[in-house]
Amino acid sequence: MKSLTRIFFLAGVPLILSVSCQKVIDIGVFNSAPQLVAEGTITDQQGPCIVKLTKTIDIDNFAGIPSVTGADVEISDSAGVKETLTEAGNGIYISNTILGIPGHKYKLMINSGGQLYSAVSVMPHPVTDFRLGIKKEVAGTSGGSPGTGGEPYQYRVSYAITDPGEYENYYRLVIFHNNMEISSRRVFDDKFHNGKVIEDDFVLHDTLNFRPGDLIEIDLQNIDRDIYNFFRTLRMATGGLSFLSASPANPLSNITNGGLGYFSACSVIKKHLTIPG
Amino acid sequence: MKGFMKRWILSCMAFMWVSVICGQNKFVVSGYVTDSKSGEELIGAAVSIQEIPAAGVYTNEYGFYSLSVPQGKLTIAVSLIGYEYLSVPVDITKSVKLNLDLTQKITRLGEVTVSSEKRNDNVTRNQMGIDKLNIQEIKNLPSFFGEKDVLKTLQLLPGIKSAGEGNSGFNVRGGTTDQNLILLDGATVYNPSHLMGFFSVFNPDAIKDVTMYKGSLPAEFGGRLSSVLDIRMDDGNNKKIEASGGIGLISSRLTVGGPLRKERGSFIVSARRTYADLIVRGLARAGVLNDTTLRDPKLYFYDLNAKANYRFTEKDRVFLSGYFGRDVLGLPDFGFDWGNSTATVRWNHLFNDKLFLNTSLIFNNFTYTISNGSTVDPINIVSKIRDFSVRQDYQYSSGHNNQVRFGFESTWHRMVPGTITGADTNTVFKSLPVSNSVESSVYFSHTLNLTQHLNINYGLRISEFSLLGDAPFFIYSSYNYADSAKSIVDSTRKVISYIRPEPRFSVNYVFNDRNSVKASYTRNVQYLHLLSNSTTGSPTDMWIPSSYNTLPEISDQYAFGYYRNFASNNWEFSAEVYYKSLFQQVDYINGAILNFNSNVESQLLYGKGRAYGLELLLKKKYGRFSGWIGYTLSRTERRFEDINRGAWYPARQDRTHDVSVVAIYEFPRKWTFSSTWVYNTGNAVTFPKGVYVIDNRPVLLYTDRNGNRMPAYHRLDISVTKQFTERKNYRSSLTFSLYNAYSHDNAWTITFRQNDKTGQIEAVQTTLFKLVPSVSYDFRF
Repeated sequence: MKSLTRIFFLAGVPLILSVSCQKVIDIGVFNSAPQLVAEGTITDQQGPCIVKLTKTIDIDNFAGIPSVTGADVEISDSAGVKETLTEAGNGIYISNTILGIPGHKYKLMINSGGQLYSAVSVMPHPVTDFRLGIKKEVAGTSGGSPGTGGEPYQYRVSYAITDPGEYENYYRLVIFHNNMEISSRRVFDDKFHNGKVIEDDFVLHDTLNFRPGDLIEIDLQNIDRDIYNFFRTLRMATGGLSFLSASPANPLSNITNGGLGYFSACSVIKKHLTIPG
Repeated sequence: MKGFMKRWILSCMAFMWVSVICGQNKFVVSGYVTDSKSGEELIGAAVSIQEIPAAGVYTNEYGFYSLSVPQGKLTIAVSLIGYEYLSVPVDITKSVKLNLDLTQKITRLGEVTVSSEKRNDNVTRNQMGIDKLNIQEIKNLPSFFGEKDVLKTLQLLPGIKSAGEGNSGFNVRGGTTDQNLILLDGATVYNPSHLMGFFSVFNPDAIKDVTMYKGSLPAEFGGRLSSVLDIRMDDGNNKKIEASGGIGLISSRLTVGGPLRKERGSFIVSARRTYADLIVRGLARAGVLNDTTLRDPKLYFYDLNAKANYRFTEKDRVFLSGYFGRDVLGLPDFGFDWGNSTATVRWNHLFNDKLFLNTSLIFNNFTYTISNGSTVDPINIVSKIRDFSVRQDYQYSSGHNNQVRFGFESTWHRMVPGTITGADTNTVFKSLPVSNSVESSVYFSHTLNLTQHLNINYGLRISEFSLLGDAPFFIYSSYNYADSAKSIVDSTRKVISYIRPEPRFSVNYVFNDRNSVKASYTRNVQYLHLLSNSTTGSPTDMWIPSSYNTLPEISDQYAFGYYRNFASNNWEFSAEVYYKSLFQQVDYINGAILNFNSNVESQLLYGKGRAYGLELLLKKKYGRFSGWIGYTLSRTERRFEDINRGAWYPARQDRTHDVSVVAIYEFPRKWTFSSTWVYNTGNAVTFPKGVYVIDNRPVLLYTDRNGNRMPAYHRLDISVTKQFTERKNYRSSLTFSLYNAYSHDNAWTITFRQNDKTGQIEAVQTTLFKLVPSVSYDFRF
C-alpha cells in the first residue's frame, strides 16, 4: 500500500506539486440514526476483560461521543463458563473472573434498551516464537518520515515470528510507550509466509519524543480472521489511499444486528524493549 | 493445450477460404480516395454521383469505395472535411477503376461558394451514435501540459465523459471505463493511459483517423458494452520523405515518414518520450521535495509507433503496423513499469470491383512488472494479458442500394494475473493461476436503401467465449465467500463456454438532404471484466474472463435521433435519446481484496444497471470559425441485491448535466485561437453521515452508497497558435495553452479529517490543477 501511495505521489509530482491545493469546505448537514458501537476484548492474560459501548453521532457534531449506559453485557465460553459484566461508568463494562483459553469460542451478548446484539470470536493459539529488535537511525534514510519535533533520529523496531504452518494465522501488534498505547492498528496475515518466518520492521511514531531508557511494550495478539478483517478494513477506511476508493464502506464488524466495532478473543505475547541511547 | 491450438488455427483457416459467389449486372466505379500530397488513403470520404443524389457511399477504413452506376455521362463527386471538394466527369461504358486525389484545404480565404453536396453525411448515413474526429481538430484545441490528446478531445463530445480530472479514461453513455473497446489498427489496447491516467498512449502525430461508436455498434464490432473507439495509424507519405515533431514542457516527439517505393508503399515511424523524471530530480535536488528517495528516480514514459504499407498489385496491399509504449518508474527500493505492445498485419485484397476483403493477424500484450529493485535478492511480480487474433472482413456492394459486410474474428486471450520470480525463502507467494480463453464471433450485416428516403441496416453477430482448462476453477455460492467454493474443476480442456447472439438493427428516414430521423437497437456482450475499485484506475487493475461465477455482461441499447443541417450544411444539429439496460454488471463486497487474490471472484457482486439520456450537439464544421456546443442530460443507475438494500442507486459516473463548448478561430497561415469550456454535475460519491470512535480515534460512518454529489465541475481552456512563415518547406508553429484559465477550484477528492484544534470533523477538498500554462513548439519539413 505504501508503495502504491508512493507511485501515485511520484507520478503525480511534476503535475501536482506546484498546482494542487486543499481547502476546507462546507458540504451541508448530515443526519444519521445513532448506532451501537462495541469494542470488546478477551485475552488469555490475567486482568479484567473490557467491553466499551458507545454510539455513533452526526458527523457535523463530533464533540463528545455518547456512551451507552444501563446495558446488559454477558460473555460466555464454549465450555459453559458465563459472566455478566459490571458497569464501570462511561460505557465501560468489566469482568471479574472470566479468563480466556486458547481454542475456546467466546460469545458476547449485549442488551441495550431492548435491542439485542451478539458477536462470536474464537481465541487462536499463541505462537511460540516472537522476537524483537530495535535500532537508532538517522531519520529519513529509507523512506520513513523524519522524527517529530525536529528530532533527527528515529527508532526502527524489527520483529520476527515463526508462523505455524498448519492453519491460517492473523496477527495484530499493539504498541505502548511508557504504558501509553501509541499504536493498535497494525495487522497482518500469513498468506505469503505460511509456515515460515515472518520478518518486518517499522519506525516508531509518537507525538511525544522518545528518550533513551523509555519503555516500549509490544503485544503480539493472535487474532481470528473476523478481527483481522475488521482491522484491515478499518485501515482501508482511515488511511493511505482510502480517498481513492470508489466505494468507501464501514469496517467489517463481527457484531450482529447492525452493531459496529468488534469483539475479539485473542491470545497475547508481551515483549519489552528499551529505547537505546 | 497444443491440441486445442491446432484446432483453433484450423477452424480459423477454414473460414478464411469461404468461397464467395457474386454476380455482376451493372457497371461499377471503384477505387481509392487519397490525399494528393502525401498519397495517404482517406477514410470516410463521401463519394457520390451528382446526377443520382441517393447513390452515395463512404470510403472504408482503407480508403476504398465501390459504387454501382448506370451507363452514361455522370459526375463523380468526393467530399471530406478539411479537403477541397472534387468532382470528376466520367463517361461510363464499362466498369472502371477510378482513384481520386483530394487536395488538403490550406487557405480558407477563397471559400465563398460552399457546395452543399454530400457534406450532409451526418444526415444521410445510416449509422447513429457515431463521432468522428479529425486529427487537425484535435491539434487545434487547447491541451493539458501541451500534450494533444485524442481521448481527452473525445471527452468534449456529448455522451462521452471524463473519468476524472486530467484523466484519459472515459465513460460512454453511463458505461464504465472497461466497457470501451479501444482499437489501435485493430489491436485491443487494454490500458490506454500513461502516468496514472493523465496522458493517453496515442501519440497524435502517428494517428490518422479516430471513430467512436457510442453503443450502436456495427455488426463487425463487439466485445464491449458501451463503445468502440477505432483508431487508425497514419500511413506515411508515399511521395516524399517528411518529418515532423514537437517540443513540449514534458515531452518531445519526432515522426518521420516517406515512400518505400514511390506511390507503391510508404512507412512512418513516430516516437515520443517524456522527461518528468528530470523535473522530479530537479525538484528533489533543489530541496523542494524532502524525500531523499526521490533524488534519483526513474520516471518517464515513451511511445513508439511504426507502420509500413506496400501495394503489391492493383488488388493487393499489405500493411504492417506496431505500437510499443511503456511507463517506467524506479526508486532505489522499488520498481514498477507497465505498457502495451501491439502488432498488426493486414492484407487488403480486391476480388473484383464489388468485393473487398481485409484479413488481419493481430497481436497485443499488456504487461506490468513490480520489482523490489534489489540486485542481491531480486523479486519480480509480472502480470500479463496477451491476445492473438485473426479476423476477416468482407465488404460486398451490389448496386447502389445494397451493401453487405460479413466476416469472422477469433481471439485467444492468455491472462497471467500475477507470477512471482526470485522470492526469498521466507515467502510462499504462489503465482496466481493463468487463464486461457477464446473469444470468437461471426457477423453479417446488410445495409439496404429501400426507397430514396428510407434505408435500413440489419445485422447479427454471434459471439462465443470458451474458458479453457489448466487452472483450478471455483464455484462460489450466492453469498460469495472464498469458503463457499463448492467445487473445483481442474481440467485441461474446455471448462465452460457461452454463446450469445447479438442482433443489431438501425433505420434511417431521410426527409430531404437536410433532415432525417434514425432509430436503432443494439445488443452488445462483454466477456472480459476489469476489476478496479479506485476512482483513478491503476495499471494493476485486473482483467478476468467470464467463468462459472461471472457471466458475460449484456447490454440492450435503444436509440432514436433527429438530425438537421443548416446554412448549406455549414451547421449541423443532432439530438439523440437512448435507453440502455445492462445485465450481469460487476461490483465488489465491502473490504474486497482485488489484488493477488486467487479467490478474487469471491469478492464480487453481480447486479444490473440502466442508463438513459438525451444528447444535443450543434456543430459548425466549416469556415474560419468552427466548433460545437454539446449538452447531455442523463441518468445512470445500478441495482445490486447487497448494496443499498437492493434499491436502485446512482452509479459513480452518473452526471445529470454535461456541457461542452468548443470554439476555434483561424487566421489562415498566421494565428489560430481556440478555447473549450466544460461544465458537468459532480459524480455520485459516498460521504460519511456520522462518526464513531474506535481506540479513541474517530472512524467515519457510511450509510448509503453514492448518496452524495461532488460539486459541479467547470473549466475553461484556451490556446493560441502562431504559425511562422514557411521557409524552404520548413513549417513551424508555437502554441501557448492555459488549462483552467480562470483557475477554478475543481474538487478532485473530498476527504474528511479531524481538525487538530476544534476536534470537529471537517471536509477537505483537494484540487489537482488550477491554472496550468504550457508552451510547445511544433515543426514539419
